[in-house]
Amino acid sequence: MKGLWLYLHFPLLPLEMRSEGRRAPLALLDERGARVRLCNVEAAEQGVQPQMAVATALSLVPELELLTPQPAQEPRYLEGLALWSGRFSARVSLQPPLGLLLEIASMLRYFRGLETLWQELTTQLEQLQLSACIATGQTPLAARLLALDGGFRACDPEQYRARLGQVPTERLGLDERLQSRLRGLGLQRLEQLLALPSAELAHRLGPELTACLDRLTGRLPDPPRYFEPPEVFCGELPLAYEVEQTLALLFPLRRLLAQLEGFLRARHWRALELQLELTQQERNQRLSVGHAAGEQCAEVWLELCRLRFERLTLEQPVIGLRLEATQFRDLERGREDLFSIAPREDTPARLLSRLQTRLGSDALCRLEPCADYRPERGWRRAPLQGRLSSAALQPGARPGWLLEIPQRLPSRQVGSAIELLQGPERIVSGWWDSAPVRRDYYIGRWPDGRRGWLYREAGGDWYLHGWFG
Amino acid sequence: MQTDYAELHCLSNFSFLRGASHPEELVARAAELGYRALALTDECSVAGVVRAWEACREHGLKLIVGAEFRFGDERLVVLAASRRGYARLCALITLGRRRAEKGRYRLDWADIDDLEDCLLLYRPGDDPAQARRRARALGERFAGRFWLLLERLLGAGDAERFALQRGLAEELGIPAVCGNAVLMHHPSRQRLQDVLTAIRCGVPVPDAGYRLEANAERHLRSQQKLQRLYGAELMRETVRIAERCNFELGELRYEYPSELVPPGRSAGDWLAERVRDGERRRFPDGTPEAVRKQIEHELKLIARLRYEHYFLTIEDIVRFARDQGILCQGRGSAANSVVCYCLHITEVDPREVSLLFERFISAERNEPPDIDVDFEHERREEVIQYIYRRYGRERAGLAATVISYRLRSALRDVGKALGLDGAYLAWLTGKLDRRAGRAAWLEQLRELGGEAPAPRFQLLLELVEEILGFPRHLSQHVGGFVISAGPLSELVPVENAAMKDRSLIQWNKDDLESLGLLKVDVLALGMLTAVRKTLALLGERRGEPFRIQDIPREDPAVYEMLSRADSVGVFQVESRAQMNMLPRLRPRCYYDLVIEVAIVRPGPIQGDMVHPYLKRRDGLEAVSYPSDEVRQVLGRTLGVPIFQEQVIKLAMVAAGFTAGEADQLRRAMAAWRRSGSIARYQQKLVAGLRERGYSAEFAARICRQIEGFGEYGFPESHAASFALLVYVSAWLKCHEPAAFCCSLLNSQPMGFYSPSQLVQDAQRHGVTIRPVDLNASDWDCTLEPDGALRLGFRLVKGLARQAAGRLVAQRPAPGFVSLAEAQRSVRLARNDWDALAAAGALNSLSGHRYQARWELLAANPELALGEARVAEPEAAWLDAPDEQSDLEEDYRHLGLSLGRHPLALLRERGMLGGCLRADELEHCRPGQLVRVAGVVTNRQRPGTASGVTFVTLEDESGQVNLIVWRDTARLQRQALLGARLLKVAGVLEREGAVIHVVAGRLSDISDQWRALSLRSRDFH
Repeated sequence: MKGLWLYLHFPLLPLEMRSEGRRAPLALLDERGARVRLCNVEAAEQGVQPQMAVATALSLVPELELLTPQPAQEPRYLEGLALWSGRFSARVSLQPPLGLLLEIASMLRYFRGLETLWQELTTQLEQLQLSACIATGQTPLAARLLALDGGFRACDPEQYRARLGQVPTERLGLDERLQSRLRGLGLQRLEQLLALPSAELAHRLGPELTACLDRLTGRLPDPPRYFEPPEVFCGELPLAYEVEQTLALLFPLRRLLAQLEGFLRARHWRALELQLELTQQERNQRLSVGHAAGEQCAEVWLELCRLRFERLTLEQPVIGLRLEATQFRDLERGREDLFSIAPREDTPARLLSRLQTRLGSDALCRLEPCADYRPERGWRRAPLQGRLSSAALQPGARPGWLLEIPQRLPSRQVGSAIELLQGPERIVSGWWDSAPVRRDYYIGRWPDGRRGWLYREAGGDWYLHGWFG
Repeated sequence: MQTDYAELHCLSNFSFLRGASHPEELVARAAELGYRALALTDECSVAGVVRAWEACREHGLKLIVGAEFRFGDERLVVLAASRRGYARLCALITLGRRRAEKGRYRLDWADIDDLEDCLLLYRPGDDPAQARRRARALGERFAGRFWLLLERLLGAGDAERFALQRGLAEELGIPAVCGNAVLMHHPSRQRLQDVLTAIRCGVPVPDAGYRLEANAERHLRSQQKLQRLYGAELMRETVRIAERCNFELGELRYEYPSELVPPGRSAGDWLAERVRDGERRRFPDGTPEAVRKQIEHELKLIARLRYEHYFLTIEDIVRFARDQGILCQGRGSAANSVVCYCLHITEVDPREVSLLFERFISAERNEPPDIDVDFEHERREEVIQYIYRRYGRERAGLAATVISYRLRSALRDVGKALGLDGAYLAWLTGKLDRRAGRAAWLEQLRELGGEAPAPRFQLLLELVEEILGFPRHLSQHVGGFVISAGPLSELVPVENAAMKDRSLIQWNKDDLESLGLLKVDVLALGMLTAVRKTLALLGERRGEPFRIQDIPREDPAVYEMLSRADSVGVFQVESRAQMNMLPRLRPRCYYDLVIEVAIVRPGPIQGDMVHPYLKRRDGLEAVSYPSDEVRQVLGRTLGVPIFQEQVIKLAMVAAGFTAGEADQLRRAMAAWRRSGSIARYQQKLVAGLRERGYSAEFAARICRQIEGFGEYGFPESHAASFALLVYVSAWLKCHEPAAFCCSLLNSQPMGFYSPSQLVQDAQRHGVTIRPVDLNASDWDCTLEPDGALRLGFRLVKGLARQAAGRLVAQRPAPGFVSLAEAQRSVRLARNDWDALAAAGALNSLSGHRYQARWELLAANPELALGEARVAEPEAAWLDAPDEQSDLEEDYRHLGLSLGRHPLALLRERGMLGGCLRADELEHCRPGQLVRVAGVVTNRQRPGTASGVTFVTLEDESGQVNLIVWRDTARLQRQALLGARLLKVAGVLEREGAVIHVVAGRLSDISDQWRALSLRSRDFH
């Protein structure tokens, strides 16, 4: 039996997963934050292009909104979509970074033909506001190349071969050396390559190329690695903007629920209860939504959530969503088979991360030294994770206790009640930011014997800045 | 106010990216504070001392020459107490510098051995035990001239350290002295100093942390403050030390190498004899009486100024070049002399252009003789190595060029130090019109910041302005050699250049001139290479040597050609601006060429002297002179000052400048960009001219002209030598276009035009050009027996020269019959074969590139292990590339194409609707609306034409000159700057034979080329 494969290429995935359906010009930056990596149609219409320097893009479209990349999140987008696509095929393969491959030959009967499946697929993508290039092919590679080349759907074999032949050889993703060889031979389209005798090609350009062509035509099997969905459903979606109204959460939530539906359909399950966590700046709000009989359909869950949102007040703006489903029921069975999966044991790292989640990520931190002459900037809070910086400690004598706010001293005390022991140490620094200092520091002895660290400002005023132990 | 203090530890911005003040600023501030003396002690360098010395003379301050050396956190300051001490200091710096790569030095304590006649100041580091050991050892070795240097910079633990070190000095019985490790003349430079530190460390300022200074204390401090920190005794010690330093830079005297004069002869005698030798060669029929007299006059002057060695030195170098068959030509005021003609330093025959020779060096003008010698650019290195060989590396060195912060570098470095994004900075830089001059672009930058600039932008503005002109590093001068009698390193330190086997001295040419030291400029000139190669080709064909002297002079056909602006490839007059001038000036004789070369320069253009000159030349304006003296000066240019020399002379005869003042004016002109000190001369000039009855308008124009000369001075004495090369190259182009084009191609890179343009020009002059061919080409381009030009392998991008050499050597006389045979006979690297295929050099064997590559791959050694497959006739599997793909590969891999011009293809397909060809413009009338299209070959925005962009388009019939006015340019910036193919609707303008199109609408049609390929593909 001839296989039939469907490939989905999501060219703007990392941008669209974060645009929350907005219609304003948007651009996603590259990792250095210097160039545009992706931009939406609205931005492209005004001249913004990928690879463009941010400054240039901003000069073209001053209102362009910039999204900083979250590389750690990106693989999850594709996994989420793989869950969602469970409704179209039980055999889905991740094609990172931006593609999904679906085996659909076996599904055509269920959908009563490719036409219906295609219809439903595009409708769903429209609802989720994701752009995709879709193509079908008789081999995984063919489907992939056709999708990358703009998409294609045809059942007529003649048409299919002709279209495949038109695909530029660059789409093969060969290494640069081989690709430039092909260019040098004038072999620009697949049909030219396919017309040449395989042995001659292999002799000149190596077996790698002919193997690739054989995978394309199906002479060589090319089984993909299928995605294995997790045991429980857990989807996360950071929001690019702070959301202050519950109704505005429905759009991003729709995406998570679509994933959930795919997850459930692939397993023939219904979910009984959803846990929704609204991530906020300092702490998170949690809520649960239940369905007594269990439900699969995203639209139903969305409606339930809408109802739940009506009696919810947001304590703070929401910056992310997290959806969990741990209780399921088999689609066919009754209530008595209910089961749940217990949470795993806590590790210290999990404890810390949960403390952080509960108390807010700012609540826990470490201290690290920081190379700045200004004593109040000689240290800083550092996040729990990551290495401490290796900045040297400040030179010279520094008190163990630095006052948060320097305390004004009456000038007449200095030199009389307070005896100056050491100094001055002149610190004139920080002109580059909003807190420049011009101070002469001294170590002084108070009448009760304590030793304090005090300074005189350029204007002549004295301040106490810390105590020595 | 006199302060009993001398600063002995002071760094200028010649301690690159450390010091934050110019030497001149430090001197001025020290004088203002009433210091007794100032020691400039840059880190292992004396690069700034000449500037400091000049400033000191102006302020009446005593300068001490010294240097600082860093050993970990310890510092040693070495001061020169005498000429001999100075020599020892220079030797020490040279030692440290020559051991390390460019810009660095490596010394350790063992190198500090005798340092005779030097005074040493030692500042300990943080380790007290080490300080004690070191102070004791040095104190014993340098007893009587060693001090412990105490510096209070008010950092952490400052007072304690001071007390500790003072105690150490007392304990060891070593005298102590104070200093301030100065990095800036005034504390207000702290910001800049921090920025410099950040740039040096390659991090933004906030990240520089403790590498910054804690405060702004490293400045020249006031008496009061010094008194408070150090007390009178330590201060008095500085004065005592200063009094022991009695070296003055003015003592340095240049001593010429003596070996050029045979023992027992005087230099004057010997020079006279060499001149007599030359006379016999130059004037085989006997020296004319007038020339004889001129020689005597010149020799007398040379003797009086004691320049004999200078002329002998140059004569020696030129003689070497002549013996090697290296073409060379001298220029400069001293070069235009019969003596130089006789010594073969120039080819300018005094009988042809007698009027130039009044300008020979004069005793009144206190200027050093100025002779630059140009050599063939490919062979100049031989000359340089000869100089090193002849005098040794110890005695010959290249002058330095100080690379300073300019707009782009300042913006980039300061911006990065302030933490601004690189892309943003690039954007900012792109926004600035850089030709506009310093004040104007600072203004532009300010405008970009908007009404209320962000604080960081404000900082950027201020700091960029401060850092402009700060030296960044020393680079080698293009060819200025200093040659001395004794070791050079006793005159000035020598350091390594970036280039291997090159060394340079720490002074630049202005410094040398200030000190009256002589240098010899050994420069490279591509045209000399091309001329020599053309002469060789012609000699070969004629069967006897053909020399420059054999070229007929004053050939009317040559001037006719130049007057048509038919000058692609001709020396100096091939640029677009020159091409516009040629038909207007219509040169008829050699001296016209001298003017032609000099007139299209910022000086005459900014002085608005071009039009008056042309009018007078055309007889449209009467030639008149306000006085006889002025007639003397301006007679040869119809009363309009064109040359730099004329303006200086004019200052003397028409504005009452003394000879000395005129000389200062000349130097101020040269240094205008650096110091801006020309303003006061301009005032004096205007006053003087007005007094003597000249119009204010004329005076103002002279002033603008002077500024123009400052931008790019081009004196008559240089133009005269260049004009000779203009004539020679023009004659060759006129009468031997194939040989000339061939030699230009073989001398690349040089000149204004690309090989593609040179080849097209030759084709238009009826030269047949044949492609690069495996079976017919040599490395160089060659002339085939029928006179056609065969392109050489040198044009093939990526082909190794040795590979081509092997190919030619092993090629059978009838050529290879197949590619397989060629591959069997000659072992070349894969890349070399690929390069040949890409350039189309295998097409004669394989038919086309694709097939050639297909065949090459069949014998791929990487894939087919063992024996290559037996060569069998290759089946043609692949279609030939279409015309467009061939063109693209031609341009990419060869840089030119012998196929049809891309524009012809577009035109044929009807993609240039309504555009005229370049050669059709001749038949259009002025004011007519025209459309043209072409490949953009040149975009220029000359500083002399405000706001205008000149664009040159090339199509299949020739060049179209576009003028794009500022407003048009601004509105259509994208198309103007981005397009490779440009379509333009505009108005035709015509001035005599010169045709321009004034651009209206510009369209970028670069995409048409791609569209062409799509369309043609659809035909398949």
